[in-house]
Amino acid sequence: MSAANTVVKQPLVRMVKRVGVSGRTKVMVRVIAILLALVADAVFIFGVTGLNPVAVYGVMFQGTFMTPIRFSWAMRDLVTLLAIGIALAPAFQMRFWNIGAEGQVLVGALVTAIIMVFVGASIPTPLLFVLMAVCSIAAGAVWGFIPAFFKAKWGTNETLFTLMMNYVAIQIMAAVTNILRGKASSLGKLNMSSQVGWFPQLFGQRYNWNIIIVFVLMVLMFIYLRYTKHGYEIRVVGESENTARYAGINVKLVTIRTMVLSGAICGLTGLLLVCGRDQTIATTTAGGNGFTAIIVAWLAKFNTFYMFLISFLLIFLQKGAAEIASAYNLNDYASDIITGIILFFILGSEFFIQFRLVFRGAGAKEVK
Amino acid sequence: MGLVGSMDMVQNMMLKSYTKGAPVIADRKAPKALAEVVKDRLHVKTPSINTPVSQLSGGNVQKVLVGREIASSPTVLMTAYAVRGLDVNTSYTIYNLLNEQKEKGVAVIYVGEDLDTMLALCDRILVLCGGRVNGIVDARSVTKEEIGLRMTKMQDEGGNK
Repeated sequence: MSAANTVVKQPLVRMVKRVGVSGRTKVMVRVIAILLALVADAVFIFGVTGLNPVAVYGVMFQGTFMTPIRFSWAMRDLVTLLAIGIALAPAFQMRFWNIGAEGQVLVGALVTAIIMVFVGASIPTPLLFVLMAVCSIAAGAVWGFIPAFFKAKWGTNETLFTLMMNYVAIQIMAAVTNILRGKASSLGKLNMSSQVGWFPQLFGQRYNWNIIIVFVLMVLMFIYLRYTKHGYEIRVVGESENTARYAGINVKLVTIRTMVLSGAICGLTGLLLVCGRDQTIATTTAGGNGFTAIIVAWLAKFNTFYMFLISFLLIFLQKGAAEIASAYNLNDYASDIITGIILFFILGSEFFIQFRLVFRGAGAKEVK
Repeated sequence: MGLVGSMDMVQNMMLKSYTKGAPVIADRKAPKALAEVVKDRLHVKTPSINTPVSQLSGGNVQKVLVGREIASSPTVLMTAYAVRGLDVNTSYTIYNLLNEQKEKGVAVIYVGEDLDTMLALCDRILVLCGGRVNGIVDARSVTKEEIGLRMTKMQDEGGNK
């Protein structure tokens, strides 16, 4: 056969799925992605603002690490994000798109605040904390149960349902804050004089309780998903409902149980935000973390320890962006672009972990 | 169906047994041992038992599935097109497995299309025609022609062709 017959026009670049990617390759791809992102950012910074990119990166770094208290604040914001990420992990592992974390956190916070204000003075403090914990968890669980029940019973779309539940929660929150506020211009801190229902200071900060509790949750959730029977059921249901049914798993039960758990942890997060961080409530108590946590959960592939790293990265970028904006009198958009570019590269690196590119010349040699 | 593609052999073995053992925490030792046994006995070609089964070839996936089902020592084993798309060698591995089960007294129901195989493998063959049962024949005495006729033409009540 002549050579001319066998020449087939190959595309310039082909995608080839990687098989058995080693941990080292994954780390390498990600490191390269971040380095490339920094280069792309440097071009942007220099091209648009004329500033020295290295100096800008230095300032960015200071956003989190300049002083111990800054680092402490970063950790406070990190555990908020991480807690919601942990809450989303079981639902997402089950391929149940719970984008209602924001609302589930809000109802948890709302119930905590109501108990704190109206019951706080009349019962002993330990009992108050137990009551607040039980009720906030129950509130979040109810917010998770409703869409799961409808999905299990009538096959409703959980994405729309959980999203809508956010708006219900926000409106209830707005109404209650207005009622609590009365004639005052703003709500202010709840139980300001008595401080009943606030977490006590721990190492100088109330929110250190949040950090400890969320770290415990992180370990527990990892074990739950990885080693327990429930965790196994969740994974099977997430991969294929038919296989799950074949194995005798009650898909509806698992769906509802998992979403109740997801909502319950969100509700508990609401309590942590009120007692440990804000000591007040507002429609912005969850502050968009319910949506950012979706990115955290996905990038970490539902591994709660990776979630810690991803949350750290996001908080680091957020703090850094704010620092750049104030240090150089840039507006927020410029620093958002910088963090956006980094996120794009990290998301893009997932593609290169799954696939590698083969160019036209390289492929021909293999065929010979 | 029957296997979860993104899970490895051990986790797929767990599908049948995960409810057993200690409460709460799922037992992994027994499924791991079973995965090793299935891999060795059925010559499953896989880099390791921790490779996701979706990365194995179709024949090897089939072996994993059949291996697991047989290991649960069923009293009735239903297979539909158990060797579809498999190479000759793997097909015979599966046939041998089914024969072993028959020797153990397991009732094996084999849904298939290849008449030569069925005559060799089965004791009794139930022939369908147009979606209706068209007689149960003894595989040792029946001929391919007879089965072919029954597959294409419905018999009347008296059993006349």
